[in-house]
Amino acid sequence: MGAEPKLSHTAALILRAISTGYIYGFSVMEMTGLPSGTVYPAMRRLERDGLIQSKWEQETIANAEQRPPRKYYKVTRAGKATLEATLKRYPLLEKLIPQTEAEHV
Amino acid sequence: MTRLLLRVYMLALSCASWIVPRESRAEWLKEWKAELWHIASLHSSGRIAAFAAGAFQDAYLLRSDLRHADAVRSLALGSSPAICLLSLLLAALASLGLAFLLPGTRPTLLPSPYHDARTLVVVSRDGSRGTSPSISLGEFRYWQHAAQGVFSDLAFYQIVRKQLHTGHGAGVELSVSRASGDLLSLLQTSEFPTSDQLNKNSARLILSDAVWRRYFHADPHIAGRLVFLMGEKATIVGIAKPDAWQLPGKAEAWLLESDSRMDSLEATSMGFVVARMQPSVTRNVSQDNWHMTVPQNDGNVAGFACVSVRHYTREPYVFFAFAALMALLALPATTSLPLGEYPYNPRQQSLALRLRRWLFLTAKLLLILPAVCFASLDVAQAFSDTQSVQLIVTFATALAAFRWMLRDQRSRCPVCLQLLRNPVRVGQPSRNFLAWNGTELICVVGHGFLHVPELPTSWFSTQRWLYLDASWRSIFRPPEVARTT
Repeated sequence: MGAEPKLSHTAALILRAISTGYIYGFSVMEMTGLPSGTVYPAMRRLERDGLIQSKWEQETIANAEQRPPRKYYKVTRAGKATLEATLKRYPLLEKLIPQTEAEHV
Repeated sequence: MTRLLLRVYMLALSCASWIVPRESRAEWLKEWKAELWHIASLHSSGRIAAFAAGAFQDAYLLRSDLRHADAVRSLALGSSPAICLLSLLLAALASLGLAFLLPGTRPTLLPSPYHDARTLVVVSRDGSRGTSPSISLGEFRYWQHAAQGVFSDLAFYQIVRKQLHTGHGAGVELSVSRASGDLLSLLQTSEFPTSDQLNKNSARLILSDAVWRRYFHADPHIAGRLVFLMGEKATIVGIAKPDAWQLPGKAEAWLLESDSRMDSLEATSMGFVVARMQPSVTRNVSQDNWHMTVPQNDGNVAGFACVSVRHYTREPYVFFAFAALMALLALPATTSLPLGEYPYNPRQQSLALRLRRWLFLTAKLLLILPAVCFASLDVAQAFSDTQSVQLIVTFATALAAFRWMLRDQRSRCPVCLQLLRNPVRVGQPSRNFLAWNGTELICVVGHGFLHVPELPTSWFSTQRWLYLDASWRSIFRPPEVARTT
């Protein structure tokens, strides 16, 4: 049962955005153009399915910059495999969010 | 953006957080507030309002997801074979525990308190069940002299209702076992006061533990007290332990009569006879029942059954075995016996998997039997006719349990043993021609479908399992996800 789960286009778009370096919720919103009411629930479900994982920023770093710590997301190994399979279904995703934009964040 | 406006949005997020279940609320709010803080420092008020509005949608969806996950998790837990076996084990242990607590069933679980219980027999006339008095005192007196080759020792007792005066004008009516004085020496048990405590010249009374506690307030100095039983004097010589009496008839006290008093009783008084078989009679014989014929004064021969005391504690289990066997025989009338057609598939039905399926069925049966047995024993104690009630309860419960066992087995996936879900009605009888109509169930892990025909036909007589090959697996979640989420 090693088959990857089938993602919707929206979920695939968000996964692609995270994999290219948009690692917190608002940056994903900015990149994809999706509203917050869509992005955050989708990211939570991707995390539930083990495709991405979240990690809180260290308090010391946030305190030093006098701001609240953010929650960062990154794609897991299973998420990468799923994304690879999904890109075959939605080839335009690579053009929408090219890999080079990773340096954007 | 003003500090006041930011506070308003933060307050809105706090309001939205109340939609989120408590266990996830703090982290959810922390993330949204942090995001809002960052956005507020970069964007206009309109953009921030749209962002904050999404929090309500996210909170609502998170709540729905968590509730759905809880419902699916509890459903998955209920479908698990391990939970099924655990529930049956708990039921068996609970009924066994209750049987230990109930005074009527506890003796059947414990070894007999009487020395060499196999040779200790209750003699009853043929045709009587041994649970009602069938031997006259005259016959007992005759056997005391004439049957010494068969019995090494004999005792007579009868169950009578007697008024016991406990003192200060108070009295209670008790079931008293009025017995010949040698009853206790015959039983050879430590559950009753030892014989050297007993004065054999007068009537002696032994109280049950329950009577001693209830009517004499567990008085530790009660031995030697003189009481009146229906106007006759008797000396209390001790207290019997709770499980001391395992002979026919319910007794709350034991009145050991003196020899002179026994001789004065009428020869026609009916009662029970307990006897110790001669070792030469019982040697090399493993049975619990013997038959005895005795010539009568009128020239006829009367038959008597000598039933070992051990048989009485085993009797409930014999009744259980009989009723359970009857339930097994009646089972085909309530449900079909075949477990369905499972086409041979070496990839999905290895020998180990097939063996596991049969082991699961066997384990269910092995747990159902003690659960039903002890539960029927427990229930029967609530009625006066325990044997009849035990038979009826055992038959009904065993039949229902066996039926459930087969139906449960049929509704499980042969590969993972999870209960099948999502029943779907397939086809209509009026539109079928050599097809089938009925119910289709699915294994959530994706091992296959179960097709249960509504009307058995010559081409589809019983339920049929359909294995799914690997090409179907992409539509199912991985096993660990499917079972737990």
